[in-house]
Amino acid sequence: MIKGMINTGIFLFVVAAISGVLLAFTQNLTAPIIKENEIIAENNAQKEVLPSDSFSSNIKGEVNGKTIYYRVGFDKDGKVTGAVFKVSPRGFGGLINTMVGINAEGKIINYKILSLSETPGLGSKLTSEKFTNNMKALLTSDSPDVFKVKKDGGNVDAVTAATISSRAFCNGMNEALEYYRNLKENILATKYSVLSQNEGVTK
Amino acid sequence: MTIDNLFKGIWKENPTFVIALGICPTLAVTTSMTNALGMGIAATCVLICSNLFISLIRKIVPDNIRIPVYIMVIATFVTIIDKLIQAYSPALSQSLGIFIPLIVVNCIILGRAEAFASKNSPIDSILDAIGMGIGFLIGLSCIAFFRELLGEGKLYGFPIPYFKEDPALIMIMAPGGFFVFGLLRALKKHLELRRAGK
Repeated sequence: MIKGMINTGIFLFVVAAISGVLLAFTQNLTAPIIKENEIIAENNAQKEVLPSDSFSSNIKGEVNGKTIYYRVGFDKDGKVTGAVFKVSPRGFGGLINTMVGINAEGKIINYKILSLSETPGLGSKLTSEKFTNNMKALLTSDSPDVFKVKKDGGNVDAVTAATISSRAFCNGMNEALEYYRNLKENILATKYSVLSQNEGVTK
Repeated sequence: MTIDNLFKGIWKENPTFVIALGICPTLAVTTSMTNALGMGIAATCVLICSNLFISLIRKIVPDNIRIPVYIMVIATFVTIIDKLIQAYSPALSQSLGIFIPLIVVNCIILGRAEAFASKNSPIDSILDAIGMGIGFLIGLSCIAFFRELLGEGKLYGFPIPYFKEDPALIMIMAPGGFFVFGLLRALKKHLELRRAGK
């Protein structure tokens, strides 16, 4: 009886040990590659939200006591084109990680939702073609200074039956604008440097 | 008898409508046909691997701790697959990634390991996995068909005339999932009873 228990315990231990080793090995092997994939995706996204020839590395900034990181974009002559912020407003099911590009005039040019965990079929429609096209139209005609869903007397067509998600999305946009307003002087004064073309070198 | 293992999962022992396993992910992903397809394929692949593996080790696993061992084995290699996909195929990970954590907790995988693979040869277990996987895919697609059509007026993301005019949103929310699931189960039972002449 005791012997049986010990044998069972040893068996379970061996299985757990093998699992642990395999998982650790996989983690070691894949973690750097996954990280790299994320950086590539992010670099592509920042070109999309703020058309520029090069970007600075992460710059630390402080807004209302909160530390944030942003990047400044440059055109081919080294002139500042604007800044890219990452915001994560809380939606219905979790954080809506969004990248927002703001040009030198302080207007949002474009945004990209990097990841969200909103209800499939409802809040997840923030990434749908319909919502994206509506936003594109709004941003290209006259990019507003404050984003608000129409239900709250604003300018953004909320996703049907997903007002909470849509509101959260607007909060994210406003947050990015707020960052820009606070950091405007620093951003416009950022010096173009050769280093800034190579991601991570200045760190 | 062997070939019956392949087909029983599709109708007679359909995992969704007869065994009623894996209902949580079923209700969660059947909001669109595309999701149903992704989940069905991902679950089938995992099921084949896990059934094969469990069948291979079935003789060395002590009977009284088989469940924890199965859980560990399944969770380990689903996680490994997940990491490998994330690292080497980011595009695939983008479209299937959200289903993989759901598969770990999908009772079909453990259910088949316990009910079938732990008692049968590797070949039979693979056939069982393929049949169950296809059955699951068909079950998901049947539910998703009605939910997406009625709730969004679309199929595989393409708008369907007439239905797209005024879709009933409730169908893609949780209650709609239960409605369709219950009605389809009843329909299947009805067809079986009629065939039996009752």
